[in-house]
Amino acid sequence: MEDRTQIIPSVDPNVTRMNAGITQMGGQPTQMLGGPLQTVMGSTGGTLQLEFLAGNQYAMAPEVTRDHGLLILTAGDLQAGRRAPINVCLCIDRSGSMEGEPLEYVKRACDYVVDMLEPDDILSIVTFEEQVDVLMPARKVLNKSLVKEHIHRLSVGNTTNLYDGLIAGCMQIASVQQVSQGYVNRVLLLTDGEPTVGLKDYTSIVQQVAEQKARGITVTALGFGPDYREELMSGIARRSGGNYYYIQRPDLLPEVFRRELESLMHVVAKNVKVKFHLSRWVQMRQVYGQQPTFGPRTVEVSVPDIERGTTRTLLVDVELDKHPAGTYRVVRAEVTFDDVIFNRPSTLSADCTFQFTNDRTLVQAGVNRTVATEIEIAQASINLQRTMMGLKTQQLTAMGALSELQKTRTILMQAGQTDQAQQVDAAIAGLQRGTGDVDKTLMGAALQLDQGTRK
Amino acid sequence: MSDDTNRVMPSVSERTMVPGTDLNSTQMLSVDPLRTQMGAVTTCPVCKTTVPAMEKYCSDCGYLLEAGEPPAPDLAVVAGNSAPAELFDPADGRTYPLRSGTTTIGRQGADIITTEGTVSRLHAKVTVDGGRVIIEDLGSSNGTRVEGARILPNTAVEVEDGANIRLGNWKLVLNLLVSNAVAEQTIDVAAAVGNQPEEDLHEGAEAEPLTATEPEPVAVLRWTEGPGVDVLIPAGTITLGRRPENTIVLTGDQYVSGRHASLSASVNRLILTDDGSRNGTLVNGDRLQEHQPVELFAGDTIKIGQTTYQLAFVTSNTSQQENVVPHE
Repeated sequence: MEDRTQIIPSVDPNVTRMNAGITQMGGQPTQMLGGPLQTVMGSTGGTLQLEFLAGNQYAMAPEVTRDHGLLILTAGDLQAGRRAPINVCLCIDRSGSMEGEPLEYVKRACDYVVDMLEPDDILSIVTFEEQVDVLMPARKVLNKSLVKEHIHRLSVGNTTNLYDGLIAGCMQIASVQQVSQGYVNRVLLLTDGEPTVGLKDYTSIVQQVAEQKARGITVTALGFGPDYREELMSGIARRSGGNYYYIQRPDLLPEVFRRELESLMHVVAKNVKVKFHLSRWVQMRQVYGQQPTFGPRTVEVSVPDIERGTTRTLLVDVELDKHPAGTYRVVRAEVTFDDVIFNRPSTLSADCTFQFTNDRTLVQAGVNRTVATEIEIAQASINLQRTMMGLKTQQLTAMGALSELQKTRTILMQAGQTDQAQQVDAAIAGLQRGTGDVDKTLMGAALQLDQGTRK
Repeated sequence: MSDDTNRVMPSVSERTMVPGTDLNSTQMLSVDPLRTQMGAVTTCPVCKTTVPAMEKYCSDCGYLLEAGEPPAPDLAVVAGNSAPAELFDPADGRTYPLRSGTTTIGRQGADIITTEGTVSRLHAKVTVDGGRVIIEDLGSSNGTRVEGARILPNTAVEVEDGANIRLGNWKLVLNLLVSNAVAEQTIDVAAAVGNQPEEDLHEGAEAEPLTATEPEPVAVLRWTEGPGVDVLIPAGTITLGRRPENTIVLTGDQYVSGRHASLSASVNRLILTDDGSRNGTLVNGDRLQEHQPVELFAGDTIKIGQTTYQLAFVTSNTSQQENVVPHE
């Protein structure tokens, strides 16, 4: 990361990023780990680093300008080997349709989870069909073979009461929240179908997820097979800041569980919230892919947990009124999060600045390439959603969708988002074979793009 | 930037509590004592806000304070900054500027973007032209309402200051920022002065140069009956009603609505619009349709609430002889 640290950013024309300062809430200077890297700005060396890039170093002083700001949160890989304990609930659909191979693979996937846990981790298992059962209340896994024995007694029931199952899962997480301060918590919600009992509508379920999120409980949505509702499952993940997986075949279940667990174990920052403070003569028009809370001169968004070695971005759209010539901070971003490596709350802040000028050639040359790439990625997500909508309303033929997806795929490849490009590839293949799961695949790609998951 | 008065040395913890105040990291390394003064204040040369001296940027406008005075303190830019109108969201206190010309509103690719789910991708457009604000629904799914009445898609509807506008379930209030509107008009008029044809008054009645320069009334509503009193009408767009934010506040009559009607007045032409008043506005005995502008002529009887008036134009004694247009 040290190559990003400019000693005197204000006079370097290539660096539109301005300062990023860190304050630990205890008033401690930020000397922690990583020795030599953190001496210059006071912003490096922490669990997270923050940058706030302007879409252009310059803006025309006598005009109204629309441009972008890009917030980049980077979690270094310095703490490799250390991790925060996790509090995880497996919330499993055991409706009739899970009978046979799926349930066997679910058991295997649960075994896998049990094997991955360390003594401090907390596990609970909730199953739901017509009714909800707590197969294992939240506790540390001391006797792994005993837990597995319980898991292997799983049998199928009939209907799907997803809503109550979800609540029971969240309650298990909450039941140990007192002792699991500093734990990374997550409900893994697995279902293969539509909710058939209890509250079934999208709004009620997603509203419940939002309430749980407000209590600090995140839900990852695992959709299995061809019959689950992808809008619902991706909506849950989106609202919760969790992940979304489309699991095509039962034999993929253990691998997906492993991946989710691994991602949980890599979380270094949770409850990440960004508050933007707007200067006078500045409007924030939107935060791409987010549902922000707007105040008169503030904009707040909640950001999903951040894993070490990864980057999360937030792209914002600003409108700048005319300014007298000069350099201005147009937006200040304040990021608060729970540092789960050091188990303490932390705050970072960074400024997005523009230099207002009367020289149009400066503005033309001042575009920031990193931000330009992010704008393309945001556009790719909008394209994906448009393609899905077009297919659904049949305003787009399969051929039309194919060419749209190929265009989007190219954009993603050029922007370096290979994971999502591969998912688009899978959707293209699905579209060509007529498998009917194009939406299930694309929902995940669009969500990851909107959540700002990079690398 | 370093104001020497009121100097207090900060404790170490105070110093570290202020995040990101220092861009110039070389200074950060050799902690400059002058830069960490607490208590001293400075004034932003651009927006005149008082800021703690240790701040790097003005806390209001964001100006980089260490740059000193801006090379050309272009105060005209600052003064003329705001848009002539804005939409205000009472739910979150957010305002959306409406600049002269057309502003689109929707969930995607619009000038004003919302995340409200009942708003269509491209829902409506608002056109600001001088003091007039026109809204048009662009065929939205959930419709656009002005003062509770759903407007037809793809049909321009004039909205008045203070009007409640609803896009889907998203409620907004239109605020005309009068002073700016007048300032803009004044500039427009100054540019066009000398060749102002009378026909112009038809559409842009409020662009009449008298607005800014001459506060004299162009017409008078003479009281004939009821609890009210004479009303002097200045040029420009004015609103009538009981609420204090109206241009002309009609206090004496209980039957006048908070926002009752509006008038668009020039030296020889007067357009009256009922703004959805509860008890209506009558011209020569006929009740006006809501939001349908009607031209008034000298001698018309106008009833607002329980008060009846008779309209007379005020003939200016300056160079306005040709303005006496004989109607009937």
